[in-house]
Amino acid sequence: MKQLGLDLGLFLSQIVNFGLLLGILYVLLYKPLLGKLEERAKKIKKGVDDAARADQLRADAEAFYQQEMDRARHEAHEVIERATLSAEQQRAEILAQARQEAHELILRAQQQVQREIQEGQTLLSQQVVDLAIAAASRVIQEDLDDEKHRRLIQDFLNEAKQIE
Amino acid sequence: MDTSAHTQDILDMISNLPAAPETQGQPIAGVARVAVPLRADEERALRQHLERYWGRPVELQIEIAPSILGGVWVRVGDTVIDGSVQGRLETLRQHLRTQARIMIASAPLATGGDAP
Repeated sequence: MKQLGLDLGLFLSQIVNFGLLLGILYVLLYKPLLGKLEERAKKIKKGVDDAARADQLRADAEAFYQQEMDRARHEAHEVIERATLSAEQQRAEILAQARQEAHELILRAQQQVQREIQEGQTLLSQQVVDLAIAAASRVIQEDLDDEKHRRLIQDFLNEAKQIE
Repeated sequence: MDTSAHTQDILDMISNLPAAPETQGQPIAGVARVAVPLRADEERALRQHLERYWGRPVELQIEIAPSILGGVWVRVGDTVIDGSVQGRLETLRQHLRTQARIMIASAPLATGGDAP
């Protein structure tokens, strides 16, 4: 060893010192630093996992939103169709009812006009009859002389005689 | 005017008269209306006919009523026998009015077109 220029004692003490230094560094530096790194890796991994979960949740939520939107659109479409159909039916019913009422109104008006025409004709005919009878009365009155009066009275007496 | 039809009307009317009351002998009041005064023989014949039918005296009051135009109108008790020209004209008026009403009611009237 001396030939190599090494002091065995010094060499051993340096080995021991180096070993001690390694032990101290391992305990005081390497181990805590390793723990920190593992902790950091866990945090990063957790963050990545959380981000992936959040992304999955977002995707699920987006799919749910889209599904709900489709369902809502479908329901809205059905509601609009039903409302349109109902409105169309109501429009047709109202139109039919209005037509029926108008028809009945026209019919009643026609009947009223017919009644009034008939009443007018009846009144007119009665006035004509009254005038004719009045004229006939006047003519008969002027035409009846004493001889005709006597004949009328005699006719009555003869008829009365027949029933005795 | 149809005299025979009117005569038949009078005969029908007289034949539907109520039977003569049983109160024989008691006079009954009556009114006869004529357009011109009756001669004595006409008045006598009228009273005789009425009394024979009723079977008792008829206290007949004779009135001159030019409105009946001609003939004789008689009421005895509640019974009226209308043999006057005015009565015939009134019957004709009612007949014509009835015929006119029937004709108007049965005549078709024009309508204003078909409703929808």
